[in-house]
Amino acid sequence: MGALSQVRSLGRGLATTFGYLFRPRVTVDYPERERPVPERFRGLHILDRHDGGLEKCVGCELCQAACPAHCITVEAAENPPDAAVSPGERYAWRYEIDLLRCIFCGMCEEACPTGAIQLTPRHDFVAFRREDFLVDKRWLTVPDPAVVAPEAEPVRPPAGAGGKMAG
Amino acid sequence: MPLDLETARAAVARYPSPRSALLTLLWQAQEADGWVTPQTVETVAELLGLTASDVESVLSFYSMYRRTPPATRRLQVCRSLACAMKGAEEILEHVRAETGVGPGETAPDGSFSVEVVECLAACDHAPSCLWNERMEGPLDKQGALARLRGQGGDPA
Amino acid sequence: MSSNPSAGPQAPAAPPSTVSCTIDGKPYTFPRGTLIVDAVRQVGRPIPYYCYHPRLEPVGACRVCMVQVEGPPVATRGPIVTTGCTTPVFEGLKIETMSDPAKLARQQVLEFLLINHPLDCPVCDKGGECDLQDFTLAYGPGKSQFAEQKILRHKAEDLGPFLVLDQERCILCQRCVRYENEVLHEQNLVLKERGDRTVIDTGAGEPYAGYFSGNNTELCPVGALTSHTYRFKARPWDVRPVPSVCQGCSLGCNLTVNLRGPKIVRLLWRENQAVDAGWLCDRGRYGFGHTLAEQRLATPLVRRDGELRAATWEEALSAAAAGLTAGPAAVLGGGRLTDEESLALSQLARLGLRTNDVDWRVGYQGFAAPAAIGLSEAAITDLDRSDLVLLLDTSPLEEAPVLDIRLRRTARRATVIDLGPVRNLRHAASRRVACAPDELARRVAELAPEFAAAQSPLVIWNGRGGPALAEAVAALGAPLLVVGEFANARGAEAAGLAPDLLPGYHAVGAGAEVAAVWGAELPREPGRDAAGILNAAASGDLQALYVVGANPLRSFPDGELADRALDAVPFLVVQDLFLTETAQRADVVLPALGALEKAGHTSNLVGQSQPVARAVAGPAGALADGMILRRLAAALNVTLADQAPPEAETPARVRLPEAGGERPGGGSGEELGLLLRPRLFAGGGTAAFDPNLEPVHVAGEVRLNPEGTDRLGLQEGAAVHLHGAGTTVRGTVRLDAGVLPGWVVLAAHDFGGNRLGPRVRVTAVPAAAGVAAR
Repeated sequence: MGALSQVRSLGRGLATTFGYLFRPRVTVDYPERERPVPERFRGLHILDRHDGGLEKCVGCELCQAACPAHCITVEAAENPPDAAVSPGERYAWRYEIDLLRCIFCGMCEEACPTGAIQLTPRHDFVAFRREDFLVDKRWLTVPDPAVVAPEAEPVRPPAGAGGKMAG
Repeated sequence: MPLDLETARAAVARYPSPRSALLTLLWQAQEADGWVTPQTVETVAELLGLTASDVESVLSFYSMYRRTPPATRRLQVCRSLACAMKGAEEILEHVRAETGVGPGETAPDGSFSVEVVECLAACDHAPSCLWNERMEGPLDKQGALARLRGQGGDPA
Repeated sequence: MSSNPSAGPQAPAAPPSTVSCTIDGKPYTFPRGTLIVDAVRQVGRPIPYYCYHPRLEPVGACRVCMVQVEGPPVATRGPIVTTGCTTPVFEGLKIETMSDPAKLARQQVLEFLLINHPLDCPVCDKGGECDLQDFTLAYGPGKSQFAEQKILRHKAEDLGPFLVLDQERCILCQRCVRYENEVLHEQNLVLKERGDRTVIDTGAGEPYAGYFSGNNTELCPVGALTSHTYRFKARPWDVRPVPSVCQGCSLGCNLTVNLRGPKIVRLLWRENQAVDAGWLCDRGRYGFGHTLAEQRLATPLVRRDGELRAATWEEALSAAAAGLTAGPAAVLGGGRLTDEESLALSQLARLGLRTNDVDWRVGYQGFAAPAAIGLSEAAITDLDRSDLVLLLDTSPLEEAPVLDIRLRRTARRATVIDLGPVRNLRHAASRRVACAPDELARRVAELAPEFAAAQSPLVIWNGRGGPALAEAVAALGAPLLVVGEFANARGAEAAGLAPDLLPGYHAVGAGAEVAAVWGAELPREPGRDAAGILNAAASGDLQALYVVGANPLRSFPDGELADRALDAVPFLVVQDLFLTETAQRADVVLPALGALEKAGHTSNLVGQSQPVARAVAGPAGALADGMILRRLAAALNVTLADQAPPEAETPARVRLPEAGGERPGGGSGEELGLLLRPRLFAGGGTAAFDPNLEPVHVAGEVRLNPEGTDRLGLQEGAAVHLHGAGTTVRGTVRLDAGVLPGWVVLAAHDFGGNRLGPRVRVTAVPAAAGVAAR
């Protein structure tokens, strides 16, 4: 091979490179600009509320059962009669998702009988510590429109709810 | 006047097994007291060697045992076909509109109660009724009201 | 019911005992009288059912076990569809479980059952293990034609300390009603109203009062009857089942522990016909709350400067070893250990402490095995065929509840003699012979002719009473069922935790085989029994006392003696789960693990050794009794043997305490005789600390015959003081016609009763004082 053929192949390569200068741009200036996601994109989870502010989640644990990655933990308790958290008898006092384990398959959403757990288009979740990817009810539940400054939900078992067994 | 124990024991003796006398004893008690009192339930259970729960169970099955004290004046209106066609429903509606007491209810002061019953076998007197357990008919709106207010027919 | 139908009017004199029929085209042979549903289940074909239950009589209420049958008796009509639970198989019957008419019938029944059943499966505790879910999926119509509003009824109705009823979910299969009626004869749950208004309810609105409510939650095929303790705690797919054995009493009912993560969420029955017949009592089923109770001891405690302070295991064990070897020491307790641990304790006492002063009998029970007093042993299942049963001052209901269920069945066809000062068989007919405790031996002797005439007699006794009573029982010649006071009393006795016994029922002084296995010489003089040990401690003859899983201050019949002994003994080591009254006086407290927290074997009241699993870990700082004993033995330079010594060919007899666990008094004048009798929920072991059992806990209950109480001005529920032996105890009156007049009954193991001496005066607490005392 001579020097000429090397120059020729270099030119061909550079032609490809410079050719892109004159084509339409495919990248966006993320995070200043975001590319629209497909309609059925499955991103981060939320726990939805009913219109009146009650939580849709009834703590049935079907999402936990359906989850192929075993990243959901739900524990239920009896709704306090004077301050119901959800309609009916039962609510989830604990709802945790390990987002590092989650494969965003949407099976939880499929399994949910009340439409409480939903996957949103949101996908920009960063954290500096692994623990921060373990999200709980406070993080997941959408704010109650009726409450201006939402109080922290109880993430400990409510005293006396659901029988007398400790913890 | 509670259940007479002598009569009750005599009734129990008539049956091969004591439990068979249950309905009879409850009837006797209701005739004595006007209704079946909680104390009667205990007494009858003890007499027959049953549990009070068992007696409660049987008692609640039959609608003609009274489990609350009866009102002074009791109107029981037939709602079966013939009486219904002759206006029993309208009479009951009229009573409700005038007094606020509907079928199955008792006046707040306990003075009268209104009930509906099935065929009294007195279709020729439709709309027929039981007025303090006595057959009467045909009943009309004014008569019903007057009786309940204690202005007509004298409580037996 | 129709379990034994005749074969028809023209039947031959002796019909064959089996019949041949076909199920889904395949030929089978069954015993005559087998129900179609049982036959279909036996051959492994699926069949849905709700009202049918193998342990209940058939009723045909739910109509969902529809099968198509065709055969000689119905040949003229061709194939018909009928319920499998009320029809027996007969010769030549052709059963089709999956034919179109059968499928259609089941579909229609299921559609009807679902008309008023709420579809709240996501919040229902039964969801995931619900027969209505499963059978609707398998056999249901898929959709309902019912478009109207479903009936609304009470949800989450509180039926008592353990039960929750959801009336909407009930499908009226009547399993609970029939269980209450046929099995318990109690009728705590009945049907009320009729037609579409029918509901399940307790009697006149009062809470469920029996001891066996929890079985209803497992019988219920839907989510109508559920438990307070399990309510919303887990779904069936969360739980991990671990088979184990209940150690709440000496019966040893088999159960399955259900765990969610590290926590017990519920206990379920595990049918063993020879022991529990499939049932559990409420104390066994719900008494798991102590595993997580806040008061559990989680670290060893050593007394320093007069106060119990937390210590490391090394400190506690070396303090215990030093204290126990400083002078003569004795061992009390052991009735709640596993078989292996009892054996280890026995060896530790004999070789480590060089003493035979060891006794498990810290309560009223004098012996555990019939062989220990030279009698033959009955099997639990013997109750199913015996024709004469003597209930000797023993209450199976309070001491081994599930045994009482079997006894009720026995009482329906056999004679049960209920002998003693308190009526003990309360839910079945019996021949009641009321007598004072000191008359028992004479009354037993009077029964000898009747026992001689009986085909297969049996005696149920809890081993309370002295040698005279034991002799009288022996004279009856009937096999004996000994109900234990402590869960593994039988294992403790077999391990030689008695002053005159060595492991395997070798007599003390004749234990060459034991010495060979243990590899050391044994002390040869018989030791002192529990009363002797406590007397020695009280008089200063003992230097140290090692109390293992026992609380003599509550359980020993002479509480005053126990009190003096524990005060006087210079060094006290207590090994327990909780800081009991006894443990509070200890110099060293060793925190142990509970029954469901360690593995091993436990012997039930007939000596059957059953394996128990370690289902939960227990507090991190506590150790299993066996591990504590092993480490203590190491500190005492004893190597615990791995194998058990062989059984003696002729079991040695155990010497019964003269007092027989009782201080018979009898009333005179104003004074009433005091009896301490077991009550199921008055327990001193774990039940007293169990939050699950708190609603039913019995404390300060004073049982009196109604006769003569007017004179004392006492009514049901009245607050009273009991005065005796210089002590006053407060209690609440419960009038009980089953108590012999002139006597008052307090719960054994209930604190205070054993301090009162044999005779008490009962006085009403003045109303004002009653308020002030609260």
